[in-house]
Amino acid sequence: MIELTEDPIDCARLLEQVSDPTCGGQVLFLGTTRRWTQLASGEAVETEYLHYEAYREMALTQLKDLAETAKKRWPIKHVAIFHRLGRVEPEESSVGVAVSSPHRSESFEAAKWLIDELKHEVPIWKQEHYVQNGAEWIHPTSGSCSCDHPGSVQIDKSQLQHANESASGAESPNTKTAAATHTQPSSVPNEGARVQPESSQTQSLHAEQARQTQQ
Amino acid sequence: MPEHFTVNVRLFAGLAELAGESEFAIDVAAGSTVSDVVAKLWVETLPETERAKSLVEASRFAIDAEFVEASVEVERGQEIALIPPVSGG
Repeated sequence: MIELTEDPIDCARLLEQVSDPTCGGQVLFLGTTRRWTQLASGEAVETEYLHYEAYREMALTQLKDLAETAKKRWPIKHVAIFHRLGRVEPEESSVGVAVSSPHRSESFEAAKWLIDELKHEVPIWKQEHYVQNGAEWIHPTSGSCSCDHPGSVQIDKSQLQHANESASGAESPNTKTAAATHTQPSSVPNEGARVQPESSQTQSLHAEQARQTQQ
Repeated sequence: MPEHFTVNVRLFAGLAELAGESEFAIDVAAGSTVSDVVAKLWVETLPETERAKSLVEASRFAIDAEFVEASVEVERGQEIALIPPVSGG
């Protein structure tokens, strides 16, 4: 069950979609709106709300494809994904991913894979409305995500190594996504917070290159 | 004089904001590729700013809601979308 909705995400209804008498585990991931984002500088930026927009037809198709792919990769029974569009207030959920399986570990793995893929591939965008600094559409730069997604598509690997400057441990689940080819650091405050000198993504690309060399 | 036709181009998020609109009808010659459409879109609808340039360069492309390479030829009546780096979730 895949939904793009203007209404608050109903977690009970989301979990109902994956309920199954042969399943011994359900994993539910919720992505929530941070009011406060800590920057590398130590400064905290306050978000008033987020506004989400999607290329609806394409996003729905892609989310369905992701669910089908997850079911082929792991012995899971059901996948349900709800994503908000329009205005989402701090602490509300913008996305919910639910997975069920006979045993728990594959649900954890599949749910993580699904949310990582969603954040890198599905045509949905957020606009941050800051309390202090107006509003800005978020378009993450490559290498700005610390998840182990194998690749922001179309990454220019030669540039990726030089893409990032400032280091930070600041987590940014709101927006930590990379799907870009250009590497210019964004001016968005909490974009900078995500930049890491040698991202896990870069490392995995290096590892991938090494594997290819060995073959 | 080659045949001309119109394709519908859709922009989203920061690109739509920069262009001031989210949908454009772009007239192209038969045989044009997605790249050609984007080049024309760039001239006709987007401001010549670094922000616009970097967003277009970072974008992927779709025809009728499926990702395609920029080298694919477009056909009459298709919907071409520019997909700037996504930020859902």
